[in-house]
Amino acid sequence: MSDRTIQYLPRVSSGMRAVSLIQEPAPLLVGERVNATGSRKIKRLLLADDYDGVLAVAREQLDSGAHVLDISVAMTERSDEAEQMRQVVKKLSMGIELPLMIDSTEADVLKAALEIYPGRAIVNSIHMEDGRGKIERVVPLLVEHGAATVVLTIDETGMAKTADRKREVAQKIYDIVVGEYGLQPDALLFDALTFPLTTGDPEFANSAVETIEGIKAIKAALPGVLTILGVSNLSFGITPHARGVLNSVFLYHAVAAGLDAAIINPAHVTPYAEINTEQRELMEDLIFNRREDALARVISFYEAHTPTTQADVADPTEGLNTDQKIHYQILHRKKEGVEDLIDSAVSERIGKPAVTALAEDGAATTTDAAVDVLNAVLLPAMKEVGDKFGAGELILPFVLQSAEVMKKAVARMENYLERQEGYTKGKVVLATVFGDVHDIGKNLVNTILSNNGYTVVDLGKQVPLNTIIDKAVEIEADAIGLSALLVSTSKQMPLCVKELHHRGMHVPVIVGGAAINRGYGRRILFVEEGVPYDAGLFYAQDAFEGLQIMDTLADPQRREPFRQQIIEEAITAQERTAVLEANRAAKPEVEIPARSAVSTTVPVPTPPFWGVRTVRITPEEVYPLLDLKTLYRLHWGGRGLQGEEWDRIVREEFEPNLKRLQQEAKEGGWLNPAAVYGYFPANSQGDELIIFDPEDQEREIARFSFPRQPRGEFLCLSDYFRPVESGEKDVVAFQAVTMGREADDLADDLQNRGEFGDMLYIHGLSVSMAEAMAEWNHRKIRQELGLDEEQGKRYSWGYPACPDTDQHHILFQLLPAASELGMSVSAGGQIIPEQSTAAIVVHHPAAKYYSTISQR
Amino acid sequence: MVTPTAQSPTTAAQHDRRYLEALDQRVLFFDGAMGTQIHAAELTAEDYGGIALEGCNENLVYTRPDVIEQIHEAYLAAGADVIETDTFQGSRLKLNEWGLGDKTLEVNRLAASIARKAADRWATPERPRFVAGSIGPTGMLPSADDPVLSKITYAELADVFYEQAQGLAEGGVDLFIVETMVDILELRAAITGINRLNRDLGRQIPIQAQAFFDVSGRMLLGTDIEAVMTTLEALPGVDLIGLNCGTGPEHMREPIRFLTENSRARISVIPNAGIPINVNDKAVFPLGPAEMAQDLAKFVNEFGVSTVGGCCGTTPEHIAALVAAIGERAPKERKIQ
Repeated sequence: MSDRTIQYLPRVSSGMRAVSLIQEPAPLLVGERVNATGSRKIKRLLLADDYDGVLAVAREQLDSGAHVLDISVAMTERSDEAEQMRQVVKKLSMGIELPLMIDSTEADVLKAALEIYPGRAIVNSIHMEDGRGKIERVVPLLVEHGAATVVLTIDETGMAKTADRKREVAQKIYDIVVGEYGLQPDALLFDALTFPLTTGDPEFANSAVETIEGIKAIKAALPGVLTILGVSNLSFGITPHARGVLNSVFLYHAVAAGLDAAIINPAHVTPYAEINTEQRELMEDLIFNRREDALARVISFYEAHTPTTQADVADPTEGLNTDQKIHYQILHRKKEGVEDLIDSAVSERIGKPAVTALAEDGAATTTDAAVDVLNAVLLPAMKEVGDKFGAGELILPFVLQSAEVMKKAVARMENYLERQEGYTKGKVVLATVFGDVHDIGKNLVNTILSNNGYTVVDLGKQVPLNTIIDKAVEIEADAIGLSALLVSTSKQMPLCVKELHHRGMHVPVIVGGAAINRGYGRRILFVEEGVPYDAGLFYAQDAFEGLQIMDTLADPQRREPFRQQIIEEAITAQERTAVLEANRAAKPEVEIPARSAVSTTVPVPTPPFWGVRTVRITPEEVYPLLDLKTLYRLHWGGRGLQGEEWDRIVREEFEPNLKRLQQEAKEGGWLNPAAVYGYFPANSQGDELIIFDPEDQEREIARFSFPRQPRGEFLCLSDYFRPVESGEKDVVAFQAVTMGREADDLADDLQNRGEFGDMLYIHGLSVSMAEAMAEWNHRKIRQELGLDEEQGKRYSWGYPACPDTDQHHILFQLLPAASELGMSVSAGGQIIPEQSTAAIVVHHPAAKYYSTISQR
Repeated sequence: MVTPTAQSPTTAAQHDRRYLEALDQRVLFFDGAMGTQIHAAELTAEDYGGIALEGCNENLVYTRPDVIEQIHEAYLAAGADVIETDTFQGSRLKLNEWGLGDKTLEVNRLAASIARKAADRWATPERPRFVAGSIGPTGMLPSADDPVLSKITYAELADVFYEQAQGLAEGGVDLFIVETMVDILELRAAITGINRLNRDLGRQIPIQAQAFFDVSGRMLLGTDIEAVMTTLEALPGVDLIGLNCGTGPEHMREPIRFLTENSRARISVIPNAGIPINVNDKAVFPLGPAEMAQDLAKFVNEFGVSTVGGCCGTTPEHIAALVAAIGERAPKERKIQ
């Protein structure tokens, strides 16, 4: 038998996941920003005990690609470093998945941090500046907690400056901590030290060479150990742009020499390949000490090549101009500061501060500039977001977060627009059709259109046709957008088109929604046999196709050909259908029997009680039944992702968000699973199911009629119950479950506040939870009836076996869903709130899912 | 602080290596559920020592040691190499819930000696039997942010585990099994406490550290298998890493595969007999002896797991089936790349 082959890697971990210290490609990036000495912002946040603010900075480092975060809270203004470190570590270990590097000179601070940190941390640092003192204070902590550590090559005589000395000091410390304390070599990250190359001090002119050689010497002398460098020190004092380039070029050479990890602002690392030869050579002359004037040449080069703006050198956008920064922020979902950037962009265009201009002349002087910012910067940025979404590079929540930034930018820009100025690309009336309470899709369309320059009038859900048409007339709409989730409610769409046609209107209609497809769009383009709606009816698969259609319709050049093309496609499709229909008509009709062959003699289980009951449970009981795949793929927009990309999004985006929302739901109480269900005596009669009074089992109180399959097994739901002529009562269970109103209200609130990403997440979670609750209650029913885990099925209205959602009205007479749980049924037969679902539960062992729609 | 036992250091050190040496020779079988068996004995309040203690399994070591001993016997007879003491909830924090906190040392010592006696009766020179001192979670969640459950320090937790481990060591356990742990920080504190005890005793009693994973494949607070492995492997004194309770073997397959392919430690797996289903308000564990044995045999034969056994819902029949399915074989040899 083969061996157990182990792929061992040295790793560190947070309370959630682990990271290998050996990265491919190297190096491991240790984010340096959460540092009270290195960042004024962090210092300010720490002085104010604003740990949420610290967490936000940590998240930015995560977004920039950091693998580990260095945390340092020491400052002269406060004397509670240990307590503050404890607070920060606690906050970060619960709020971010990255492992931490605990950075302090004080052993008691390290101890406090290690005792609150759940995973395997890295300590920064030990050295021998005071001989063995530091080692004796810190290394026992490392052993106890299994931590890795940074080892500075410093001893009693000071910082090791030559490669030889670096190796010598490293060897000395290694012998003690490995030999005497038993630390693993790969728990040690030796720092060969960097010195500033930018001071002109001849003592340091060769220091980078010594550091690079030191790395090689340490790795050769001490197999198994790792190396690390704090890179930024190297470029101390020169312009930010030049620093970024110098650090990146040096890092490249250090990694080539064997460097495993770098403490750096990851947002500042430029891949070597993206640095041009001229700049590489300038920097390499300095790093490798190749010419005396290397530093002077670097300084003069970057003086002549300063980035175009000096305002607000936001880290990752360093070197970008204002427009590019706005573009970057939209693409990278960064809300903070985008309003100031809009101000700058307008100011730059009019040649004086936009705010001054506004105060002096109103929007007269700023309007043109603002329109230009919209057209030249904001819209192309959103277009790129849309393109990336289309190409599968972005998931929907990210798109919505970009839209949040966009919304903020547009809101600011509107200050600079004269109201009467027709800057809109077009006006759209948007509605979810009458009877339909699902509006998530429509909300997305609203978000995308309104953040792409269109004026959207959103009429909400359950909107009657006349309201839609009247509004379109009133605002002289350029298009009407209709959404429907269900087959039943989508019938409102052709009614709308016919009404528009009837009134002689010429507003194009765009339709979309889960229940319909392109073929449906083509069919309903015809208001009657052979007569298309001449303004056009367009099917959009998602919000971005909707945007594309609007952009085409808004363009006078493209509008007409597009309209004609859609009509031609519809005619071709109709002709093809006609041929198929003719063929089918030629075939003989199948005779449909009165009943399928389903057994009528299976045992009837005994319910534990007759009549109805109400159940309220906690979300925690429902979570295990949550269908994560459907949640992630369908509701949270992860569809289309595969392999590693899928794993990464699940790990870094979906799972943390799910955990966060579960916590928020617990605190905010917006998930409230509840069910009403009950057992009723029942008998079938043909295609109907008769429900009897649980108190008086001979008294009929309701009747459901179900469609029969026109082919195959000729199944009908009623067949699963004892026929009335058997004289024996069967039992049927009904259930209606809900997550309560609160999630619906919260999602609405988030949409209004422009928190589109969270709106999508919360909506998706609550809808999925309703499904999970349905499963939970179904299992309860199975248990109460003493059925096997698999026996019987649950059929929800709106699905093929019982498509008629109007039967919800009958159901609500049987179950006290309204009085007990505040649920109701819309005119279109849908249950309100949306985070609800109902079903008929069939115990018959042969029950299965099937379709009743005839093939076409 | 405790006084070292009467054994000479050399003998103690040799003794402490026995479990690990046996594991290098052959795959060892743990016993099955203690709680399930106690439940099946249908004890009365009197058996537990009165109504106030009804349900306190740990108190049975005083009131019905015969029942506990019989359970150990049944598992040994079924072929278990390792039996676990009746101390899963034997930490001071847990015993406090029954007002028994002050008896922590004694309860653990007594439970260990009952198991010791049973194991020694079955042991032969060719086939030693081992006693694992069972240490479960305290119910606190130090790495969460709960106003009540997180209000405990690392040092306090380490002391709690030190005390329990001390009682178990005094009763003669061969190893500590820290199991069903839901919070990785608490697990770390347990290891720290035990390591301190070992140091004070001059011993190296092995530690088997096991996490509880739910169906999501993570610990309660979200720790994934790679993070569990990384954290535990870096700690001193941890000889085996594994999973127990939580789910049946099916849900453990991927995490266990990961451990066997990536961890240098020996791996242990002690699943439940599947995920319980509720039948007439009773939790019923669906996995029968044969099915469970089949799954676990794969873990041993394909992945190279070193020791297997049963947690909630398993019975002597499950263990007998395991022994029959896997038989006497050496664990796959570990080759580190």
